Amino acid sequence: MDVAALVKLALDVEGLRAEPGEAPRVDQAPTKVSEIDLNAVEEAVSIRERVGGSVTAFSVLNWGPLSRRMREAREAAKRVLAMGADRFVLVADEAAVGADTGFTAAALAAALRARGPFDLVLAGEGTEDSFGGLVPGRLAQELGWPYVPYADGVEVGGGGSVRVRRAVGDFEEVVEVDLPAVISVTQEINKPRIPTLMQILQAGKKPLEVLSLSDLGLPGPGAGRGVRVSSVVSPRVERRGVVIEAESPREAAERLVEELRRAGVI
Amino acid sequence: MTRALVFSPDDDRCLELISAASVATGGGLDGVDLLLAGPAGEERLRTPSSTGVGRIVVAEWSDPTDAFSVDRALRAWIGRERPDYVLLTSDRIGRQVAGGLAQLLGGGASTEVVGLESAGGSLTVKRMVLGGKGIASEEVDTPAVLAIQPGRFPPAEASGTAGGAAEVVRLEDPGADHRVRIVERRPRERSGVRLEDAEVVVVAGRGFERREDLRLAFELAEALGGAVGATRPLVADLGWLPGSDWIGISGVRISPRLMVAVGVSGQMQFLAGALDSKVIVAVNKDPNAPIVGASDYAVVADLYEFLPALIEVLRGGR
Ligand SMILES: Cc1cc2nc3c(=O)[nH]c(=O)nc-3n(C[C@H](O)[C@H](O)[C@H](O)COP(=O)(O)OP(=O)(O)OC[C@H]3O[C@@H](n4cnc5c(N)ncnc54)[C@H](O)[C@@H]3O)c2cc1C
Ligand SMILES: Nc1ncnc2c1ncn2[C@@H]1O[C@H](COP(=O)(O)O)[C@@H](O)[C@H]1O
Repeated sequence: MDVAALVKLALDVEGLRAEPGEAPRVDQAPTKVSEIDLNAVEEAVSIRERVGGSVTAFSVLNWGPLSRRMREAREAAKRVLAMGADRFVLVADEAAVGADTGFTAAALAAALRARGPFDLVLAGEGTEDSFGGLVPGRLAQELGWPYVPYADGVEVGGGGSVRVRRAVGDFEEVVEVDLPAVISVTQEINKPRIPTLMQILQAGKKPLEVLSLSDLGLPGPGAGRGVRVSSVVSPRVERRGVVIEAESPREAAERLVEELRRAGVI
Repeated sequence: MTRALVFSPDDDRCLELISAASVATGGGLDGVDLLLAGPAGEERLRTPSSTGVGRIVVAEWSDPTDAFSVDRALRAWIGRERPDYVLLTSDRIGRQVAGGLAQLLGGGASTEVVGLESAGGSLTVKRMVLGGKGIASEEVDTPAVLAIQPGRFPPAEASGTAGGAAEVVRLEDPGADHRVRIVERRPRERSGVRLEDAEVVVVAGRGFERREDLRLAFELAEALGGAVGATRPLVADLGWLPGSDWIGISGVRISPRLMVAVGVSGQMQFLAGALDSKVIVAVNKDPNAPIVGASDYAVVADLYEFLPALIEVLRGGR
């Protein structure tokens, strides 16, 4: 089975400095592989280990400045290749920086077509920095493939279909889907492997291909932007910030209850 | 003609989405089409048109809890009417269908929407990004698919009695996509009250060492008259609260009068679901845990010593 894993270089939100009411310092924060995308890579690699085939990772760079992000992207690619992906296709182009989910999906579709065919596309449920959950569904529509999100388990049977275990609303479901298909996974589906030093060294020899939008025959800047981000500000959290430290648990409990009663909460 | 298509499995949420549609269009909305999936009772069919609903689209064959069948109904209507706006709730069903519908319409899309502004014919959407560290303002082109967080808009109310009932339109089943088949389906167990509706929520985090110890969280919740929720690892990784939802960006959003977070570190992905709590109390043994800075009252203590004492004080033990 030839599997594509979608990997976003997301802003590392842990390292992001944010002052209330101001724009978070996005340029200063590093990017890294969005956490749930590591689960997608792990699942792709383990499917190949079970049934054979190949794993190709695809990424469209969404954050600038490109010079800096390219360095981070090479590191990210190395990690994904060390986990067992066979090759990494990176779409890097100034025009794709800040692109909306529709444009990202169109670029991914073009790259998948150029380097395919694939039987299965695995994505993350949502990215750490945006958590829109829109890209995989848009991509499925673009390719005309069925889309099954939120996989907690993927079982590859014979006969050109896979079974997906997932939870939606008040129900647990097992969904059988014919290939080719797009599936998004949750963090619970597996534990991403930590590559060994040997694997990391070998990853440097695996192919990393960098494509521009014109390589993919896609229109340049401005095209297909259904959403433009005009500003990002950090939310103001106005909390009282009272820290209760007391001699004994009992005393702390009494003080807390007193405070809550006074504030009219209980 | 500016038209919006609205769907939520929940009637109250539908009314919120109707308000949202009206805000999105700056009042320039010519009509809302409300999709009712599944058997529609007489009462729902009599929705007054003065709420803004022009047409009630009945898809009796569709199951409002099955995302694939909801998708099919939405696509059938969109293919026919090409609405300018599609409004959904930002839950797993809404997020499942939003991307595909936006691509189908060739338009913009935003999920996890917390606010809308319309000025000079352009729509600005506010949504939480960067794991809760930022609120982004995004300008969205129409047609637009918007998945809105519950509780962000007041429910639409009927204004006066003029206009009578909305028109009812039956939607034919276009036929299933045979490439996707649900082969098994069972309801998840629910452990008690819906967290979204609870006035007081005690949240258990990884600070609890064993599943049995959650007893303390339940006793505290009982003493406060509230419900118990948890962080994602407790539900999703450990399964300590089977079938229930976790609180956070990928789970449910709560807005209680009081949240007591016990043994919770306060990562942004969690806090993003709890920011609307009126008062936040944190119990953590680490004074440097992020939750301490994000709370109104923080008790720096070992939960195993503090919770029994707190429960006793609340029960009036002297
Ligand atoms: C894309 C993405 C989405 C996510 N979505 C969510 C989400 O929706 N909801 C969610 O919750 N998480 C989510 N997460 C995970 C999140 O990042 C954190 O890992 C998680 O919230 C941590 O849970 P926790 O606070 O229970 O555990 P920990 O971070 O392990 O914190 C445990 C805390 O307990 C304290 N403690 C330990 N022992 C005691 C004791 N005896 N007494 C008192 N305190 C004690 C510790 O000091 C620590 O602060 C998501 C992650 C990603 C990447
Ligand atoms: N720029 C990108 N490049 C590659 N894959 C992406 C990109 N953006 C999103 N994805 C994939 O789509 C999933 C959902 O992303 P999002 O819609 O941003 O929440 C991610 O987990 C990735 O698997």
